[in-house]
Amino acid sequence: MSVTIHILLNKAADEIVSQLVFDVEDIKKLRKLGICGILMGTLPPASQQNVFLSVPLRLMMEETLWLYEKGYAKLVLLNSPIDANLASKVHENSVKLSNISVEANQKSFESQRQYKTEQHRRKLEALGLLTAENNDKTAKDIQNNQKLIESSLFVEIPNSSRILSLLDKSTDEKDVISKLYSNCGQNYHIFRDLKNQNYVLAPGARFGGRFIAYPGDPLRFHSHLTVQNAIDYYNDPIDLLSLIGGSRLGTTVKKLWVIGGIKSEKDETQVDNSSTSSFYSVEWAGFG
Amino acid sequence: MSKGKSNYTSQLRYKFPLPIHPIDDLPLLILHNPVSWICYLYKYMKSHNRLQKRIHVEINGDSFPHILVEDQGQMIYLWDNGFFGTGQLSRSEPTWRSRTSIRLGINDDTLQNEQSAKSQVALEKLTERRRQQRLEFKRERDKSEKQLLELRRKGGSIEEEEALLEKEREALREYKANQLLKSVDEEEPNELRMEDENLIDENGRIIKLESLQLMPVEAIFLSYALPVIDIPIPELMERLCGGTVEYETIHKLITRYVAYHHYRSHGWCVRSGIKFGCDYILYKRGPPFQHAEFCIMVMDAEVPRDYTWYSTVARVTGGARKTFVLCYVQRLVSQDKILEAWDRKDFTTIFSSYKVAEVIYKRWVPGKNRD
Amino acid sequence: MEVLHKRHELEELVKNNLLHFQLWSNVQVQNEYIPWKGMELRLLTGKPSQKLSNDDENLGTDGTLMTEYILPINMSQYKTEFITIQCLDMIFEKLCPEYVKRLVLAIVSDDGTTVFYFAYKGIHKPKRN
Repeated sequence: MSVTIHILLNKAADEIVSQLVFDVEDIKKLRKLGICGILMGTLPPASQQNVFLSVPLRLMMEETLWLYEKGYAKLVLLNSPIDANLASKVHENSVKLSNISVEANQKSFESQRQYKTEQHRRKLEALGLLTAENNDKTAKDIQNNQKLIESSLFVEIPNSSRILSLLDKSTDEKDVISKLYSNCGQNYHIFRDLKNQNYVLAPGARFGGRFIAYPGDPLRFHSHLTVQNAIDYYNDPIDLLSLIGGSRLGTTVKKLWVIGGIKSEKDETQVDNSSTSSFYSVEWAGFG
Repeated sequence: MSKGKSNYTSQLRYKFPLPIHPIDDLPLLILHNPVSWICYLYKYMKSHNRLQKRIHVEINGDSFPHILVEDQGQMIYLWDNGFFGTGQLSRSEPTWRSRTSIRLGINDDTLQNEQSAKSQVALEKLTERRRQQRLEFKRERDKSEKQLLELRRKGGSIEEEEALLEKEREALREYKANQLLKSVDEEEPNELRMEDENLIDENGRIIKLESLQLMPVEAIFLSYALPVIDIPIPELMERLCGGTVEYETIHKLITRYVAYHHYRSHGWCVRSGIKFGCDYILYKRGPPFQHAEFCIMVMDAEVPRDYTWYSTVARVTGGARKTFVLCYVQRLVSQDKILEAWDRKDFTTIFSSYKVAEVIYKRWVPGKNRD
Repeated sequence: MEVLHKRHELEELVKNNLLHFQLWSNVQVQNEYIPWKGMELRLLTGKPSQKLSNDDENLGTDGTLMTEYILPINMSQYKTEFITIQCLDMIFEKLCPEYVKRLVLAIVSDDGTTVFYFAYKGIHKPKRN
């Protein structure tokens, strides 16, 4: 099983902007793996553009790394629009894309026309209205019908993007992965260890943490953990101020404040599933 | 403490915002009576607003100093005049001794803040009772939920389920109503614990176990900015930071103090904010009068923080319905200049080498914050 | 050999708080310690006056309250006491009986307050409140 993850790269700054999944089937597969991401595309007909969202699905860096390590992910570079040759490329691409979509639409319209005319003819035939004698008389009608058919043609918006196939696909996966590793730092170990314990993780910024963790699919379970940024097992002190604040908040929102320490900075590209972290869950004791 | 109620007694008790008072006992000055001028001038020259005797502080602890006021009268004086310090065995105002006397039913006429201790004991009992009642109620609810699960397991019909639910809702409502009926005076008598025996001295009074602890910044303020406590500022700073210092060891204390001084100077009552995961909370007047409105986090102007950090702190302060203020303290001279001044014990130069600027941080949700 | 600092004052402060503010019983400072950053880290033990939550599993076989293990920690506005995850692991391993699932962190701040938190080893479910 494999899903395609599009890497949006800011080439000028040599930075990864985001990791996106465009294929609905892929998104279904990810959900089964406990990778939920965040839908961030808009739905054209939705009146509120911030409530019901659509593809693409944006993945956390940690999710992308985990999928890659498990061999589920194929990385494809989505050439960043934030590019040095932006102007010329955009123009070139848009002309190309416009031609393609005009062509595609014409094709689609043609086949719709044929289909609809045929349907109409059959209907008349079935009603017995299509006889030799009123053939001339209906010429005008036919023209009217054509008009009606024209206005009933629809533009198809596909679930999967056609543009993507046109873009540069050459990806240096190793480079992308090592960038992601260095961006995540030790938080990736936290993610992986909790994932191995069958937790589903989501971004935690809204709740006061790096992640929030669900014991299963977010639609079926409440989250009861806010997981903090990773600290070094041996060398980083636990930040008591944020422990106190976080656990106090946790009592009201029924979430434990979880801190994980990572035992050592191993070679980051090495796939290693042995547990390298140790976790503590903290809550207010209810007095004092 | 019921907030917002500013009755006459507390208006009187907390009359002064700081432990230094204006000269307010000057005789009447009558312009056409020269004798009154002389009286006035004499009184004016002779009076001063210094404390009769500076308040004595003990500093305990090695690497983590605890700055303590142990005299009962002085503890209450510092609390009453600007809400300085925290009772080590109390929530804020040092009422342990009075509370314990009440708890053990001992009459002691030497107690000073008995009134507020009484209301606090009553309040604590009420909180305790509510907490217990809530636990009991939840235990009952758990029982009902288990019954429902049992029914579902046995495959009961929807009608049966609804009947059960209705019955239980009724039972829970009744339970709750009964709980509320139980009045406060259904008190179980206070039993003396074995541990309590050591608390009573040979005169039958409660021993002094509680001290008022001052935050390091409070102590600096009461020594440097106001002449209130009996430790000179150079000695205090050395006790807090050690003899020879690097800039890193004094940076946090200086910036925290600069912010503290800034808000005290603007008339706020500044208290520790650790309960809300920040440095300070600001009261317009003081804890007995109203809730704190602002949470202050002292920030280094140069140090970047990631978004998780901001959102975490803001979530905590937001949860307590307080405005979250980022207080940036920026150093205007080089570290060496600060260290030089430190060696000269010139703390005025140090504290005035920093600039303070504030930013209010608020999470904005487009779906909710429409106005 | 390095001389280790005792944390006597801190331990007394927490003991007094538990005994005479929170009204716990049997509060004692343990003898065993682990050396940590030049200090002797000791735990306190004691029993709360009542159950701390409904689904509290910290009950003995006879349903009575179990002894809690308390770690006093200093906290200051301008310096940090160095408690790491490794340190907590060592405390669980060396200073607690095996059945103990949680420590009570007694955080003594230089603002005069002492606050108490449960620290469970590993991932734990929140208590039902």
